[in-house]
Amino acid sequence: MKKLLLFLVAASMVVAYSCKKTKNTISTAVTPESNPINQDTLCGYIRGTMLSGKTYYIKCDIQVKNTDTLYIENNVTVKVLNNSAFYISGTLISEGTQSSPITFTSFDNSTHWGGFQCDTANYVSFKWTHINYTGGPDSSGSARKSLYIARNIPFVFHDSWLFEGQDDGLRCQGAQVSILRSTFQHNGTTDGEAINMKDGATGDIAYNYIWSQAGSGIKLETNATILLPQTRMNVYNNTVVNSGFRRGAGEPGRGVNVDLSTAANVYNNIFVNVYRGLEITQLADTNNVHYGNNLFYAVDDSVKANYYPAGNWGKQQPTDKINVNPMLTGLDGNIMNTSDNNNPHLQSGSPAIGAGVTTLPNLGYIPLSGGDAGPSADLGAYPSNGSGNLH
Amino acid sequence: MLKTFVFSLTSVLLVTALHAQTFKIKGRVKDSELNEPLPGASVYLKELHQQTITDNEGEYRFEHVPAGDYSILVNYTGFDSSTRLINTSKARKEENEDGEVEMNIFLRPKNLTLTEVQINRKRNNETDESSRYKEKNGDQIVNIVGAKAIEISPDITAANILQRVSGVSLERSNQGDGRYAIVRGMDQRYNNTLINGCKIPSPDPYNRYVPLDIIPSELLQKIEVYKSLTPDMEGDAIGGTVNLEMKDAPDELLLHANAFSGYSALLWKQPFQAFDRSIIHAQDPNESNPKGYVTQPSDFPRKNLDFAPKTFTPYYSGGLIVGRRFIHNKLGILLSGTYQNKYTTSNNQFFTVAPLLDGTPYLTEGFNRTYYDQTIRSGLNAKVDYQLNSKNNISFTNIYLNLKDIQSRFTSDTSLTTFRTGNLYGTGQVFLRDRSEYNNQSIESAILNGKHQITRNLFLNWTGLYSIATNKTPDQAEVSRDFLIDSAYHHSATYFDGLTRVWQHNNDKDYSGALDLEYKPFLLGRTFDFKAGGLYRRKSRSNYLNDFELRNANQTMKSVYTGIENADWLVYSHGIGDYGTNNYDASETVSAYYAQIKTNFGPLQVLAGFRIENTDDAYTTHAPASQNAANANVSYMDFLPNLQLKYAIDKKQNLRLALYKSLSRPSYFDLVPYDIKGDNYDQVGNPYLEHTQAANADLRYEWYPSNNEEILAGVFYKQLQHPIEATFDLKNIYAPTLTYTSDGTATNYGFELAVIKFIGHFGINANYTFTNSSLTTDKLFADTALGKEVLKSQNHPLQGQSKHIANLSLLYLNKKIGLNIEIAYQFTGKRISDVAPFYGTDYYQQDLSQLDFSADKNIGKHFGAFVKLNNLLNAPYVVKLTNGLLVEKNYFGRSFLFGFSYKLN
Repeated sequence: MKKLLLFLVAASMVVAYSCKKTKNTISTAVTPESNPINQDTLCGYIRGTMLSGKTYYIKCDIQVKNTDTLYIENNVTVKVLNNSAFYISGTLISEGTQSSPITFTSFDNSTHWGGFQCDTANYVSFKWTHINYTGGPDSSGSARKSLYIARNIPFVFHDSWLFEGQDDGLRCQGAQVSILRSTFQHNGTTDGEAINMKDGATGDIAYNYIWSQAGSGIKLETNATILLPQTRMNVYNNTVVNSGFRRGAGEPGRGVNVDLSTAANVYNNIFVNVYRGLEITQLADTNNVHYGNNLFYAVDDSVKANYYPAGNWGKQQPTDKINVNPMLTGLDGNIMNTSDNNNPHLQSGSPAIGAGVTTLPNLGYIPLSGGDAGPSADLGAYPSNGSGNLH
Repeated sequence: MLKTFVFSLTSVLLVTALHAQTFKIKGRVKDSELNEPLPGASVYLKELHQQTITDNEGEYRFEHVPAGDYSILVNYTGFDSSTRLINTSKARKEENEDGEVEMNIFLRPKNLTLTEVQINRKRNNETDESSRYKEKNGDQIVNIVGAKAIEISPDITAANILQRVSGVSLERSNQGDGRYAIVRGMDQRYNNTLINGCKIPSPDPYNRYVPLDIIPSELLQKIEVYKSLTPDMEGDAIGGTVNLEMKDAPDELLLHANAFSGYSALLWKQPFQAFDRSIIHAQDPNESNPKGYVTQPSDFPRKNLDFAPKTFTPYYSGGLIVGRRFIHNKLGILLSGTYQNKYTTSNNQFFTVAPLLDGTPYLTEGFNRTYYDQTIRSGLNAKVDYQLNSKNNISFTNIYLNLKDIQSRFTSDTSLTTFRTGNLYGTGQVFLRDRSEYNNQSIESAILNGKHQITRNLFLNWTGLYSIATNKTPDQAEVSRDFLIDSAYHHSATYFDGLTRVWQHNNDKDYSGALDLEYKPFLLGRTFDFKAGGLYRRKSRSNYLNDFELRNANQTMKSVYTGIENADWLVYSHGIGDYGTNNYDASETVSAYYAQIKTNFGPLQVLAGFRIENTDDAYTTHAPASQNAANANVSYMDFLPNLQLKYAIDKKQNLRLALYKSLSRPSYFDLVPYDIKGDNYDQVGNPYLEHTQAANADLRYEWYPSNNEEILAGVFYKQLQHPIEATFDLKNIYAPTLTYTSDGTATNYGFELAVIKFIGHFGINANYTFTNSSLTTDKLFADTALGKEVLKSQNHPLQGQSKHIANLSLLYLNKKIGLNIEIAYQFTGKRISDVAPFYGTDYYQQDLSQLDFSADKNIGKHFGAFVKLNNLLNAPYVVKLTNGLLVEKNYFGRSFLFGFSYKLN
């Protein structure tokens, strides 16, 4: 009996000891105070203004908090070291001017850096800004887009340049975009689109010049899993030259690709020596895809056969100019060249002049305030009245 | 290894006997039918008028006995009395240096005839009779398969045997072999695996459950599937506990050897594709070079992507089991080892799907995959036990299990949407991917156990365990090419599309200690069994993963692929610094305590008690401080009450009721904030995941018409809090993520029926299980009125739960001519293989029937020959969507093997 008692006492002690409280400590993100920009070498959490005329060096990843703004004045040069990137949760405004543009580049103009990762930003605007040598891999080894947004925010990309990025150039999931009068040269090593609009992005892509992109010039699609909202985009007056040759045949590069559940207007574009021209797939929201007045030209016969790749919904339109030389001021037909020897402006007498539409069907979204340019009567990014791409 | 063993065996055999003047007489009283000890039997030494009662192990002992002739009289209720004569001076064989004379006394159950007793004399723990005995007399609801049944079955891994147990179905590997057990519709997440009653860690890089195909069946003494838990068992099993008992030292010299060979029939059609694994670097370039090293293209060999056919690829295997007891049965040694080398191939076809706006799924990509696997499975079990005296026993077990899988995988991936219309079958973009992988998994466990009788009715049992599981996959290499077949069936050139190289390794270490104290007093006119104890386990895991992306070196133009020897690449991503998707360290401390009381009220046995499990989980990642949940510590306590009633209707029938609570802990990887990038969504970890808690009820009727027959019928009901399910997070609809959540509840109920019946030499072993579970998951739904994607709840069964599972084995067992034949049919009904994220759709594995055959025949006294034919129906593994759209089809082919065995005893 004594032993039984002992046993019970021991057992109850065990119970008492065991009944401790449940507690969890899961670390929360540490967000230090952001520092005002008062030196030339920057690292970590910053806010404030990069002053005109100065050169800044980025030593490690830059973080801009949700409540902070990073403002870059004209004539600033930013040199990035150590594959660093800009992680923007707040506002980023890069306000270059035609006479005093801004430049972001890697410190040695050869290695690559992490670009602008604006997944959770509130507002992003680039004007007259050069962005060179982006696309360095992230910490898990995945390629980084030159600029990435995954939020329904306004995004302005005007009169700017993307050069030698390694993967997608502008990748937006769900933003209201205005991508105008910009230049994309030799981006993507063996993969990547210059402008990749996805998952409910809406807006205008116009007057852009795309040269030697690895994959597609402009790709539009809606998420195959998250079907709504739809991607809806106006794509007009762009010029795509010598593009789509570095990615394999399985997913070849196109001039413009309108894919899954996307509504789009595709008018007034010029495609010269593009591996696959305009592809509108069977899965696009074909009731709401409108297209025509596009010009296709190629030197190589095998490419000629693919202005409208076979097996797709998109077909040659009566308003198109098929296999018509647009008479660019300078055309370098060698797709192997790694420096851009083209002059994509139209010569006088070009058949592209006056071949376009000047109004677009309504896709049911409101463009960004400030107004987009609207289509021009001349095809391509360089209408003869000088209203297009100013580079 | 073998040489050392033979040497030590010889030296032990050379131990010689010594003489002594006075004697102790001791021995065990056992059931002659089952060879089970009989505790509480009365033993009377007539000449000295001394009486004693056998202990828990059935042992009796008389001390200070002068030399002479004695008679021993043994009485036990339900058994015939027995009088045995013993002569101390003549008993040379039964004498040892301590002056002890040992005599085991077998009592015959009253209802058995003499002939049956003689036939059954040699039976031990491995027999069907022993399995039935334990099922009948255990405190829990349990199903047992003994080594004898395993030996004659068509199965050669532990997993494949498990599918014959009622209520168990399997999750299979790409080779068609069972890998994980699904117990009563609860998948591997909700079950635990023990070896010799001890928890073992998993080599799996993502999960905590143990892949059962690593365990060769030859090493096993028996497999026990516990479907109810008692407080003295670990509480983290909701479906059930699978305990693998390894072979134990036998009373008589045991020597078994076997060798067999065979072929996978599909390999006649498609010869094995091999690569050179000798050139694989064990460490990636970042690990093997000083910090700051810039990875070069030449750091990555080509030869492991250079595949060549191998024409003759037979399956071969060998095993050896040696064991006996020495020093007058005090020291027991058992060594068993096995080696299997198997070549298999399988063909797999599957499709990815996406929904249309109205929810109708359509196919997006089609994958054709051919696998070639060389599987080398080896296992070693060494057990030494020492019986200090009748009251103290210490044993040491070391188990080593190793599984090497050398796999060549060829994939063609065709887009069914781009450049493709429904009627243009055979066109579209095609990616070809060849992958080589060398995966090496092992588990090693050292278990030290002691059993002590402290006083007449106080018992102590302790266990110390160290176990380590490792997994290494160095340089998993994949090369991609692509081409296009256009609508005019024009085949483009094939272009080089780069490579990926991945190094992954992880290990999981357990230190645990357990202590059980049992007190069996006779109080208030009945026998009580009090048991209390505790368990402490410290577990640590480290995971490493590094990947490299190699791109076409030609930066100006795509390159036509002309073979791996000509491919020219540059290093795009030089491997991670220190933070990646599967790089983390985790630890877990479990401390558990329990107390239980067991007693009988007439035919009713009551076992009541509780268990408390404290869990402390922690992980650290190398994530930057700007990320949430980079590190975490999670502690929780579970109180698990338990009641088990067993009512003996008569000597052959029981009615059992079990009511208890149990839990299931999430895998570490589920918690770690990983982020696997995908085209349409990222998959992320969930550090806030709760562990699953369950309340379980079980009722079973058991009828054991004879010692190797049974009829079992049971029902069960389970209610789960926080079942773990994959769900979409749409907080940011523009960056959706798929993650595990634990917000819901689930129920699971069903019934089981199992019959084992013999008529002469013919036997039937059949079982059927009905299971029905229900769980609610939030799924994606495109709300066109709202213009956005929303989450909508959908009810579905638990993943892996088949409504119907059935087994039917026909047996012919003839001991006289030494012939055993088994035809085993297994049916797994339709079940969810994956929960689809889209509303209205899930992936259903279709009904699957399998037929296997085995036969063995003795040749003379010691030799035997056997044949095993597997997957005779070659039925495909088929997965369809809820609406019937076919999304997966696998063929594994038939396989056959034949072999010889040698048995001494």
